Amino acid sequence: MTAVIEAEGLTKYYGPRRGLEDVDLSVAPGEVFGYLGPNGAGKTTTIRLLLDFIRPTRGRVSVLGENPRTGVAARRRIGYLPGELMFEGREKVRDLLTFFADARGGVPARRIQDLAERFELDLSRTIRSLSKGNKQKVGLVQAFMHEPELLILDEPTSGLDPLMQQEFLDMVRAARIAGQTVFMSSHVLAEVQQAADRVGIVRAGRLVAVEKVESLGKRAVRRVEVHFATPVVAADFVDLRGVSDVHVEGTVLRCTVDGQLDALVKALAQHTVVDLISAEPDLEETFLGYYYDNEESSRVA
Amino acid sequence: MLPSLVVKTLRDYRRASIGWLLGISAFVAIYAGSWAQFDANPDAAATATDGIPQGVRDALGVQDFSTGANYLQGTIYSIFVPLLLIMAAAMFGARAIAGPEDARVLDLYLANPISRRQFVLQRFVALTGVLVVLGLVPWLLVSLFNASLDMGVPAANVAAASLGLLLIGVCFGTLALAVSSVVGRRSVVLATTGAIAAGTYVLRVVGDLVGGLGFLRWLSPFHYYLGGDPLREGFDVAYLIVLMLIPAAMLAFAVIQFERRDVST
Ligand SMILES: Nc1ncnc2c1ncn2[C@@H]1O[C@H](COP(=O)(O)OP(=O)(O)OP(=O)(O)O)[C@@H](O)[C@H]1O
Ligand SMILES: [Mg+2]
Repeated sequence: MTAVIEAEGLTKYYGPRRGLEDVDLSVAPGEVFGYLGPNGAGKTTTIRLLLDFIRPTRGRVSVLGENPRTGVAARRRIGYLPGELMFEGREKVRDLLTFFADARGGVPARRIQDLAERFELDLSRTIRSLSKGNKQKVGLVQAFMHEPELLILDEPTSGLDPLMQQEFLDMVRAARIAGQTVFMSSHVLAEVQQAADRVGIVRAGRLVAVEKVESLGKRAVRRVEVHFATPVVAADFVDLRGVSDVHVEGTVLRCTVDGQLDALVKALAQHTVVDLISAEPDLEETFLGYYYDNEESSRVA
Repeated sequence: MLPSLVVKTLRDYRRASIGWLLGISAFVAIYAGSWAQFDANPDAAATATDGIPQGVRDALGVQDFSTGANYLQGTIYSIFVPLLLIMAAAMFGARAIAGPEDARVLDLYLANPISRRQFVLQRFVALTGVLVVLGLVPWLLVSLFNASLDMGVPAANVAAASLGLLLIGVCFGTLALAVSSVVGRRSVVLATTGAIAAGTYVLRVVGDLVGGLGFLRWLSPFHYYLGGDPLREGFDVAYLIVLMLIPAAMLAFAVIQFERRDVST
């Protein structure tokens, strides 16, 4: 099968400033691809290249088998949600959605109505009178309404409350079942993990890792901080399975745990524990830790 | 059926269009309607513009108000209504590309199966449509007052001057579009268009008044509008064709340029 998105050496400089450098990427039909990275990593730059808003400095990209520059008709089969969603004018939600529907060769009014109901969006309001989250819903409705083969979503859940985030993830799952391809950017690993098949991570303009989500799930690096009633010694913890970066200062233990917490918890039980803080697995740490470990082991092998 | 972006653009422009329509109508009706007081009082008509220095009068193409043609030229066609129409055209032209680009919504429109070329062309069609409606106002109202107040200007001459007026509007609207195709900032587009409008107006005046610099007026679109004296001489087909070629060339430039550049966020 030919890839839905295919990039080779894709590079974008904004004048002297790097936006994206040498990205090779391939997204297969029907795949949900999560595109993760910190602020300024190059996620939006990648997406804007896919849609021909900006032109690559070097490299090549094809979307749905077409060069974005010339493949205008292919955009009928793409749904796009901007990362910084803005609107202008005093338009009613319904009028704007009708424009998008007409521009894409028609969408049944029923379909727009259904999506609006699903997101509890009032079509008769003017867009400027909507809250940020409700504007985001307008963006999602227009991206999904023509049932595109490919959805390109830049931080789709920003501004949505948790309930609507779940509603959105349901839509992504439904899209996946329907065979649609999804390319979505995010800062949040957890969100991408729930919906994506594969995750790519960009950092400082480079795609540094691409992994299947299943292989990530089993592994979670956590920072753990434990406060004891009495001082402890580091030696009690350094040899435990999965535990590393052990630091002890008086009654406080800080360490990193990779995978199961079991060994650490059993060791802690020897002491009087006052407080235990376990921070969310850090995205880059998990991901990059995994990536570099794997690279090393394959180099050794 | 009209293309989707033309429909949307006309809907977006509707409110502002109605404002300009009312403004231009009121201006034209008040001035054209005031002809009666000069017609009834030839002395007043002969001296009405004496307060304005001769040089300024020549520059603005204003003579005394002793004939209907002089009066219409001085009050309506030479400066005020073109100014209003050019302002409207520049604003609508700036809203075509630079407006949404400034507001950061342009990518939402361009993500649709509308090519850059189609985007510019459909915006141009909507812009011209609005300007045609605005340009009909002076023609209809002046024709009405010309007939009812016996201004004595041949109907064809009113039509010729009004067509030139419309084309001047289209010229500067398309200029705003052409500037937006290079820089997607509304303020830059409005300032550049305004400066070029003022500059070319002055160019024509200097060309007319300063001996030896006559060639300058050929560089000004205003020369092809009033240089042929349409209210007295009627249609000057060659000049009107030039007034159509100018926006056509700028439209072609806008398409080519907008196809080439990055759209900013
Ligand atoms: N129009 C521009 N002009 C100059 N530099 C830009 C422009 N757009 C982006 N950049 C730079 O390119 C880099 C990548 O930006 P990009 O917007 O792609 O990041 P991002 O991953 O989407 O970040 P975020 O998570 O904050 O949305 C950044 O260093 C940014 O400063
Ligand atoms: Mg971004």
